[in-house]
Amino acid sequence: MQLFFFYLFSLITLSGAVLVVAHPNTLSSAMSLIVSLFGVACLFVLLAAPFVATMQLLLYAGAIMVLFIFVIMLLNPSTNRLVKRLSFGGLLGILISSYLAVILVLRVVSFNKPEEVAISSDYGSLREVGQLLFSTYLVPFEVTSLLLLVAIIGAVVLGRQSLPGGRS
Amino acid sequence: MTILFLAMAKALAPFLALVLSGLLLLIVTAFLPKEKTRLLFYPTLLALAGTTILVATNWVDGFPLEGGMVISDRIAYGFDLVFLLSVFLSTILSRETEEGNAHGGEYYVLTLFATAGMVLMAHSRDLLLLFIALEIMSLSAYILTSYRQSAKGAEAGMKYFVMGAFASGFLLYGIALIYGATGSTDFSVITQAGAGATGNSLWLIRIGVALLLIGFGFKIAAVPFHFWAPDVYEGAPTPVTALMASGVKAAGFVALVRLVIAFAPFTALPWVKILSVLAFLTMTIGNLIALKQTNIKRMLAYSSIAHAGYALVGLAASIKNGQIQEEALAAVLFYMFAYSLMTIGAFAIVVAMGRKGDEVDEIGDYAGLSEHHPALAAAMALFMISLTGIPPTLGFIGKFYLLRAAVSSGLIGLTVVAVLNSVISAFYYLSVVMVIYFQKEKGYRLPQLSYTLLFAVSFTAMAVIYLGLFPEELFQVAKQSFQAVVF
Repeated sequence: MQLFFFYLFSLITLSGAVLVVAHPNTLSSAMSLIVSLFGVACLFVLLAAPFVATMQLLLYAGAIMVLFIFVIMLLNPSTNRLVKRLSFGGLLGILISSYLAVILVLRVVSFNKPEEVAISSDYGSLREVGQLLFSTYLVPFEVTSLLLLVAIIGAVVLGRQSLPGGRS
Repeated sequence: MTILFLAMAKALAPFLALVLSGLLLLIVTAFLPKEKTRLLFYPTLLALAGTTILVATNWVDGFPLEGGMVISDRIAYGFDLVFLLSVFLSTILSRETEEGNAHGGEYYVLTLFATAGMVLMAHSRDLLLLFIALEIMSLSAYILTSYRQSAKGAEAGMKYFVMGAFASGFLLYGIALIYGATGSTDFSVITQAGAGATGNSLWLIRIGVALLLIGFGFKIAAVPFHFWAPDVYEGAPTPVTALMASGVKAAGFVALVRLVIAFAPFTALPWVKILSVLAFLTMTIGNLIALKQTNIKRMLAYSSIAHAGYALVGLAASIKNGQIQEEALAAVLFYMFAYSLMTIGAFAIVVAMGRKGDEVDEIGDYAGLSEHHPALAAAMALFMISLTGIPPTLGFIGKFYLLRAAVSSGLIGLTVVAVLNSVISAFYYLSVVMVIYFQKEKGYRLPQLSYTLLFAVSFTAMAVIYLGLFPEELFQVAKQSFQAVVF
């Protein structure tokens, strides 16, 4: 049963990913990315990590995708973006990605099934993650808020009207 | 739990002081009338001075404080002093430029947050925290770079941002590999786990460390990761350039120093060779390209690359037969301090040459400075001599300590290269002096000097001479910072 769902969600993830690359319309590509990310979130559920799954949906499929779509609508790129001519960079990309694909496939084929590890019932739960965030990772967690604050200030500063006397 | 929090807060005190004052200023900015925001200059300096006093007393106390992922030892406090000094001086410079007087006090807030990021970098005992601290510093620096809304500033900021993000990618990949091999991002756990690591996991750690070196190499603008620096230094407002050349660079070096202390003993990488090659390339290429520059900010940018190379010589000398040499690391700290003083002094004069709103960047514009303003000309000559490394200036002493450490670690070849490089650098530093003293002026406008700017120039000039004559005490401070290094 678990195996069935694993393959189902993997299929969703992969077909979404293929559509992202293959679809000629940019907006549809972005939508396909949501499908792919949804599949990844489901895989996290299977791995007993419901918190990460929720975050995956909320942040990636939600917030970041909205950002993507904003950018796409702002820039309004032409729909025909499939590269016809093979450039040197493209060739290099194909070489590297096929090399990585070969390594991955070889690795999966020769993969030994690891012994099962017992995990506590609340592993990956909200409670567990929250406790970690506010004990071991307290300092980085709190300091990240400063990073976000700097980013917000930056957005305001860089987005404001020109300085009086400033050249543009 | 409360005790843990208290310990953490105490260890983080300099960081917290900077962040809190930054937040306070941010709130004040919102309520100040727009013309008044330039007044934030004073509380910013006050906050920096207060933090400096806090750091200095903590350094004197000398007890390493620990809490969470934070370590507050003398290494951290020693580098904190370099950061705070360079931010203090470059903030003084910014009063003379458009940015410091711009409507909206975000400039000062971001300066404080950038400093907080640098301080946190020095205090991190954990790769995760180190990374977040680096991002706080870098993000603030990107914004400050394009604070002036001109095409050049925007280009510089964008370039800096993209290259910085690229470097962050290397860092994160490296951290991930090290975490994969050791199961922790904490330096002390990594050193313990790494000591027993063999085979594949040792290789993972090695590759991870190499990626970290590349990432921090970008931050200190070491060759071959330097190509962003000249454009960014040229396009940024001059006070921000001064900050990037001093504080941000020193922050990259504190990370490298921690890296060497944590990883050099057990990874069995050819550390000395790697760092020597890096130092050789950085010095030589920085100096050779600087020869051809006609823009003073670009010249100082390449000079800054070259000086990172000299400091890398000290880092290469800090490892001898797998043992950490405290004296060499102390020389690196000392050099960061010395270089920050000299280069900020030089940038102060670049600021002085321009009036509010426009900068005078060409070296040719300095012709005839000696007639109009002999004191300013003398100060510029002093900084150029010091950057070259001619006695009796601080620049000479800094190089002397570095090269002494290199010789005692047996890096004779690298020492010779460094000396030859100083000779090369004399060509372009002294040609600025020649222009100032021996070239006829061409339509030169006398800059108006304010008291704050005069303070910055005279303070750095006096420090360069005084510490050049009596460096011993300061070097003792640097040396004691590295006594009994542990994680």
